[in-house]
Amino acid sequence: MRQAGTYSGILSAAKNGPRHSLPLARIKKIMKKSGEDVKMISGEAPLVFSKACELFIEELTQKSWKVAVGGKRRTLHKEDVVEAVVGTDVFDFLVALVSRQDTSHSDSGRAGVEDTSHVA
Amino acid sequence: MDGGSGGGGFHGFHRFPVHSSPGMKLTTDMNVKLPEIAREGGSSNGTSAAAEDGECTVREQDRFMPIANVIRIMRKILPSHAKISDDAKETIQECVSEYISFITSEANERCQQEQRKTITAEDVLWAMSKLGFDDYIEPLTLYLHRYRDMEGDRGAIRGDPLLVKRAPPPEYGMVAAGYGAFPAAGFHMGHHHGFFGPPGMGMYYKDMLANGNGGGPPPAGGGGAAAEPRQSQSK
Repeated sequence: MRQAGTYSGILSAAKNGPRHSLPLARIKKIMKKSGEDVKMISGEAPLVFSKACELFIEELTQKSWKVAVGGKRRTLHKEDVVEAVVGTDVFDFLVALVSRQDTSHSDSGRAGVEDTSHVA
Repeated sequence: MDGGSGGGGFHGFHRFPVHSSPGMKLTTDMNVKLPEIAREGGSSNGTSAAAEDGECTVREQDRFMPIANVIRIMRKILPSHAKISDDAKETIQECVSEYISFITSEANERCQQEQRKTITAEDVLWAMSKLGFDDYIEPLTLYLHRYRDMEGDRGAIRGDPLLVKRAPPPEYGMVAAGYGAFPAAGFHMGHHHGFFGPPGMGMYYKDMLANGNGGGPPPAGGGGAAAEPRQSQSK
């Protein structure tokens, strides 16, 4: 009803092709997962996020690429992203995510046992 | 500010290090396992990944943006010779979900404090401004206004009451007052700032400004055409 109407409206209104590249329904799902108490979400909020995520990805990618270039590499690796996150104040909220992931990845790569990675 | 929004990793947007994660340090871009290929496909990212995430009861396609879309945006900003390893793609994909949650939590907190039930676009913008993403506010406000203008036009054509949406929400004022860095919802700065956003955005902005101030209906074609700065780059 309301949401579907809004969404399909947005999409069908794009006469010149898609105007945003990230799916609004997916954004909304992730928003709802942000907390138990997230109740209702205005149709415009995911729309804002679709653009914001684009800006976010661009910024993070660009900063990561600078790290890669600084290391004289032409391939963007996770380590570059991690370094970009650590080196940027506004990305502080990502530090735990990327460093935990870093640990688990390397551990599972070596030993193939995920559960011990936290202990080790 | 950060209280309650959980800090990093709180929302759990990370893959569990199961078999489908690239365990080895990736040295080549193309060296992917089957589940990776499935996800590369973008639209059909499902079956194998869903099983992998069974333990957290949420399917992968509900937790992350489609990887293909993420990669497209990344490539847009990178030089053409740049390569992107799979673990970098996945990391950024996860960061996007974390970002959405981080901002949403803050916006939600504000809604609760003000005893509102619906998270609005203004709440989201407010949260971004508060959490340090001030640079995004101008382009996002533009984007939102462009959308509202369009919706307004469509509403007028159809005769339904969507026009109400065009009225600037009162919260903008509050936000601007509370946070000096917030550029007052972009109503008055078009004349002297042409710098933000991708090229073309500023152009559109003038369009919009003229429309808004003039009070006349926006030209149907002109605004739309000028407002697609990213499209040309994306292909």
